[in-house]
Order: sequence, then C-alpha cells, then structure tokens
Amino acid sequence: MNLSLRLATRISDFVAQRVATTHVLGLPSRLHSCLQSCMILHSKIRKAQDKGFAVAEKIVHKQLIVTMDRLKRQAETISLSPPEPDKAPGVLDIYADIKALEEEFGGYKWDHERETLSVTTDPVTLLDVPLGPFRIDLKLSHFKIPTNADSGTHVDALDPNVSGEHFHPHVGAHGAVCLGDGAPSIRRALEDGRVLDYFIILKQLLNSYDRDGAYTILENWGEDAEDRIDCSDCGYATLMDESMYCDCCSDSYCDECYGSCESCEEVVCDGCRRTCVTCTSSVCAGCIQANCKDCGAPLCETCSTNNEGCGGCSGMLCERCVQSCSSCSTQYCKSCASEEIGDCKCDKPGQCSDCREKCDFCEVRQPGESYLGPPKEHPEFEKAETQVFGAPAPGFLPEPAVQENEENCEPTTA
Amino acid sequence: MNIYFINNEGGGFAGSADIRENLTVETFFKERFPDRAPSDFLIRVNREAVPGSYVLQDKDRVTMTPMKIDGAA
Repeated sequence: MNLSLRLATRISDFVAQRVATTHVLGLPSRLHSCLQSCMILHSKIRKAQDKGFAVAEKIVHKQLIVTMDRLKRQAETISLSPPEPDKAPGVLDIYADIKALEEEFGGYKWDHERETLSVTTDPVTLLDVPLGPFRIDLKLSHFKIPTNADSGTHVDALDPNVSGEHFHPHVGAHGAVCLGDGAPSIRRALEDGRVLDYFIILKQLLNSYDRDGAYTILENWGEDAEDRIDCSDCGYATLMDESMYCDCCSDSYCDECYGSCESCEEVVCDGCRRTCVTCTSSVCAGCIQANCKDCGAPLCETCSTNNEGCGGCSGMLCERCVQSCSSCSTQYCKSCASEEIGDCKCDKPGQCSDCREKCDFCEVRQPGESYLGPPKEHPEFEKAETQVFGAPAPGFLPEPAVQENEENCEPTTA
Repeated sequence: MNIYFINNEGGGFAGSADIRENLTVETFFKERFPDRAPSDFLIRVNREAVPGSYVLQDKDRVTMTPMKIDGAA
C-alpha cells in the first residue's frame, strides 16, 4: 500500500472514531432520566398495591403525577431528529485530497516521528514585503480533536524575512498561526477530514494581511525591535522616533496617546493631562494651579486666577461647590457656609453674618413683620384636635398620652 | 441533480445541494454569493480549477475558499 493511501486510511479512521463518539443516538439524557423516574414510581405503586399499603400508594401516585407533568413538558420541547447521514469521509475522498496536494503544492512530506503532513507554499508577498515560502504542518492528531488546531497550527518560514520575533504578521514567535477568521473553517475542514481544504485555507490566510490584527505591521516590517518601544498607555509598538517621552510620568507613548497642554502647550501624555472643572480645557499638571477645596477637582491657571475663593478661608472653589450669600454674593466653601450663611431674624434666607447684621429689610420692617410676608391663616390648626378629626370612635380605648420629661428625656406614659 | 458544496468562508459549510440541470459553476456562484465577485474566491470543482462556463455534473464536489482570510495576533 502506498503512503498516500495509508495516510488516507489513518485519517479516515480518526474521523470515524470522533464522529462515533460525538454523535450519540437515542433519548436525550434529561428525558431518559425523567422516563426512568416514572417507571420506578410505577413499580413502587404496584408493590404498595400488592402489600395493601393504601396510603403509600396514594403518596407515590401523587409523585408520579408531578413526574409525568415534567416528562410531558420535556417531551414537548425536545424533538428527535433522524440520524444524520454518515459524515465520515471515505478513504477514497481523503486519498483524492492527498493526491491533489501534488497539484496544488507540488507534493507533500510525511514526518513519521512527528506524525505530521507538510506542504510548501509559493513565496508569499504582502504589501510588497517579501516573506518567502512557508511550510505548513498538519498534525494527524488534529483529526481526532479538531479544536486543538486553534492554537496548534504551525508553519515555518523557509526563507525567513524576520521582523522582531515574527516571520509573518499573523504568525507567533514559535510558528503558531493566529487563525483569526480562518479558525472556524479550519476546524470544520478537520472535522470532515478535508485535508486539501485545510492546507488551502491556511495558504489563503498566509497570503492575507489584517493590519489591525497583526503582531507587527508590515509598514514597519524589518525594523529592529530595539528601535521600537511599547506605548505605556495602549501597548502599541511604536518607533522610537515617533514616540513621545512624557516628563511628568517619565514614560513613552505612541502618537495616539499624547497631546499638548491647552495652557502652556507642553506635550504630555493623556494620563498626565487634567481637565479643568470650570472651563473644561485639558492642561498639564504644571498648569493646574489649584484644586477645589471641597471636591478636589482641578482648576487651571486662568480659572483659579479669576476665582475669588472662599470669603471665609480663601480656599479655591469650583463652580459646582460655591455657596453664595443671597445679598452680597460673597462665595463660601461648604464648611464656611455652614458657619456664615443663615436666615436673618426677619426670615430673609441665605445671608452671611455681615449682611444679617446690616439687613436692609430689618431696617424698614414693622415690628413682627416677616420677610416672607404675613403668615397664611389656617383656622383648622387653631381648632382642638378633636374638633378637626372628630372624637375618638366609640368602642376603642383612647390612645395613651405620652409626655416628655424634659430632664431625662424619657417618655412617660400616663 | 445533487452536488457536494463546500464553502470555506466564515463558519464553514459542507453539505449536499440540489441544483438544476445545465447549471454552470459561475451561475451557481452568483446564486450563492449574489453580492460577491468570483475573483474573491478560489473556486475548485472536483479539486481542480475550472472555467466559469463549466456545467456542473451530478455528484460534483464544488469548493469555494475566500482569497482573503484575516488572521489575528
């Protein structure tokens, strides 16, 4: 028997074994266990009848009703599909695939020790970057467990054009291919024993390039790894010449992760810039002149210069935290406002202590007059409670009266 | 007529497909991928490249593999 036929037979056996273990016919396990429970309960009822245990018979019958309901529900939701046609490929199909490798790739190699089938691609060129030909490996064990191919598909560059540790934008340092969009179709090809499709899909993948999913982008291919640094923010490998060193945090960043301070125009990383809480400008740490005394939010130089600060303690305040006197508009922080701002004896609200002393309304008001105007008349409040709500309904005991003892503050019940 | 159709795009598909008589591989492609161009795919019939005018036969094995398959990192 020649090698191609022997390999085809082995691959066919692997696929047939996997199909046999994964495709189980018969009742689904939940339905089967429910049916078994019904049979057991039925058997218990018969035994109880034989022995004349009428009470036990009724109890078990109730359990049977519940289990039967569950069985009915499951039987309604589960439908048995007819057995799928045998998907295991024939030896001749696989043999034809292996023979077609000669046409597609000019032949194949079989490594008996590693149990690996290999083909060689034509030289690959992506965006004018020559990457040379690749050897694609197929471990026979992948036909047993196709998911192993997700991280276990290897290629080797036969004339490597290396950039850093990589000889292809989508191949890891040790030759493991990052399958990306190709993973499902490769898994499916292995499940079906389609040897030729496995190699063709990988060949197409090696001839494709996705800039967003590359280990190293082709635009920078071949530059020494020493010339590149990883951006401290996003991790992107950027050229030293195109990176920016942030003096604030002493780290390097790519051109996407830095910007200039809107105040002094110094270039700093995104992480070291702060947004002024008042004017929302993005400024460097050096241009943050103060922080709001109450909430700690940063204030830029302009906003802190224009800020009058707290009239009591002179602390800087952001717009959100300012509390002002309703008369003189003097600004106060939270703690000073609690001491300074209050209502005047004429009921004029929210004045500072100075304004309360020189209250303009107090100077002109009549004795007893309130800033809020005369009190509204609510005659019902002047009536006795019993007149408003009526006398306690007959038939109920009066509520116990509670008196406050002012000395010890303990309620006493009369 | 019945052919075995393999689509290696996306999740992958392999199964039999009923087709009418005298259907060319190009028409079959247009019916399956109305918004795509044949140049986007590597099309094989019975493991061999064929012209678009090839008339599909019963039990043919048609494979369509996209030219561009994006890997990852």
